[in-house]
Amino acid sequence: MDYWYLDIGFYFIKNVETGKYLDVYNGNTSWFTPVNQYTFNGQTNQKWRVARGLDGHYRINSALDQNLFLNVSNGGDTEGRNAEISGNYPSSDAQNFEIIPTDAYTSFRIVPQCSNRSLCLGVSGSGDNASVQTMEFTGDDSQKWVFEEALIGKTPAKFDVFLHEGWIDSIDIKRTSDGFFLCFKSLGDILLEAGVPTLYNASGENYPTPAVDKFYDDWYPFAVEDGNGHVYGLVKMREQETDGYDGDNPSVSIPFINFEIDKLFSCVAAPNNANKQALYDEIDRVILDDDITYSSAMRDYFSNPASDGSYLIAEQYVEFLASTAVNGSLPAPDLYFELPQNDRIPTALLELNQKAGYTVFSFDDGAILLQNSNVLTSYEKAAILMLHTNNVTFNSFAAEVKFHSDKLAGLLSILSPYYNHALRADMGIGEEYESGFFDKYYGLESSMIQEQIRYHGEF
Amino acid sequence: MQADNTKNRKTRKILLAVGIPLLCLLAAVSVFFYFHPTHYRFNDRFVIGSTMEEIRARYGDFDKIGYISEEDPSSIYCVSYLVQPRQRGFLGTSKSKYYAIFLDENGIATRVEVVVGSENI
Repeated sequence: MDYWYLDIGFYFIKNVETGKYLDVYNGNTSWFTPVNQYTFNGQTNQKWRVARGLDGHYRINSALDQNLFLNVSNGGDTEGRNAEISGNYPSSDAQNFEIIPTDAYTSFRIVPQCSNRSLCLGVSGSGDNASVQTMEFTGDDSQKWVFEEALIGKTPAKFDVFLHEGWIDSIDIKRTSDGFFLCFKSLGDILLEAGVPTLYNASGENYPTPAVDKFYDDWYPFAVEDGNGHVYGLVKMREQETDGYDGDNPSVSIPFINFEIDKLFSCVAAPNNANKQALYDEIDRVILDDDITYSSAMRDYFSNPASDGSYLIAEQYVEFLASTAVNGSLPAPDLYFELPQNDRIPTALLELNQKAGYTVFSFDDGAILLQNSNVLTSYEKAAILMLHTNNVTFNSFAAEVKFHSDKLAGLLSILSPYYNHALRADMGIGEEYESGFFDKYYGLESSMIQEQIRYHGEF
Repeated sequence: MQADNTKNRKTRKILLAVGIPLLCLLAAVSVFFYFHPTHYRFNDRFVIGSTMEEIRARYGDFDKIGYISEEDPSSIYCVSYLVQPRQRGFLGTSKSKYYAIFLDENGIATRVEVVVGSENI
């Protein structure tokens, strides 16, 4: 017997000819539910755990349930037997397979043991829910399969789709150890990759075809777990701009609002005016509209002082800003010079220069001087952060995010202005007056920041 | 009886003295809002049906002009006036809003609306 050793793990199993994936019909966990092919969606019913038995055969277990296995209906060596899921019968030859490499190991034949190697699994058509059946191996692409590694419980399903469609690369997905995911490719770029350069707006500003790269170039998808999977949101990370289409001032904004990401997929699948308008309206709802219901999952996540997501966002933002420096010089934002100054940021910059022992921020040039844009020192990171978000430390940034999410369910949230202020955490130079009433996240000795330091260290 | 009549006359005088001005005020306010339903600075009934030039002559230069195509300066679909600038406050920065006037292909205003400016995105 000739074997190619697939690593034990979770996979999406794709047909070479149709590009569709082994899929448990409707995610049904009943025995004898058909296993067909279906367009990739990254859901659990398309994930399979492949494990190698002692005799060298493989068993293919559905991620839906550890006791459900890929099975050839009624076993035997007859053509036309459907693939299905069934209970766990380790010794059944209808549930044991050879996985034999083809095409220089880029794809594989799946050969049920019950067929005495005469048959393999293939698809009978090109559409969704076409049957996967036993058939005599002819070498046709419809009988070959690619095993794509799947990360169970890690990458959110919708980000998986982005990956598999080729709209993002795996390097674009950033994550924390507590399950927060950030897709560091903007919504605008994702839509461009997906072939949707403009949306549609029938009646308002930016009529009729707002360009996605002009208005959504600063908004990035993120995901947090909600017990049933993930909820998705959009975070703004903007550098100093001058195009005048959307806002030009740098800031970070985190709406605690569920982004109905399926509207993006509907728009890509059928980019007609109705779907484009629906996506346009949905994005507006998340990033602009007032009095929107917040996401409990997001609130719970960001209100947890141990959560790492805010730190990831701040780090990514700072690195992104550094990448815009020219000849190692990153100018302070326009607002830093235009707004009436309080002493807090300039004082902090002065102290930073003294601590660093060299000029991190040049008051003469009004710019941060980076020694290496690709490898930032902690002083440079702090300077970039405070000039663009008004937070002198990352702890302060995270405390401000938590302050907003906490207030969503506070007593004053019944007041519309207060609620709307809490609904989106906006960190930027000049976002609000520094009154000392609502902005204790700026005070480094405050209990909010001390709490962050206890969980994350002084940063 | 006579005292009652005197009292009634006094009451009537007070009611007329207060009521008539109130009614006039109500009428004036109603008329005002009839003509300015969208924003107090702009008379919708004048704006709708007027040309861009007529509107500009009355209210001054536009704060924003929206083009269907950036390459075609004649493809104006909307002109607007800033009615609420972005303002820093204790509860954060408020959104800017515009009195937006939507035009047909002949440059005649057909609809008005207060919209949030795209610079708030």
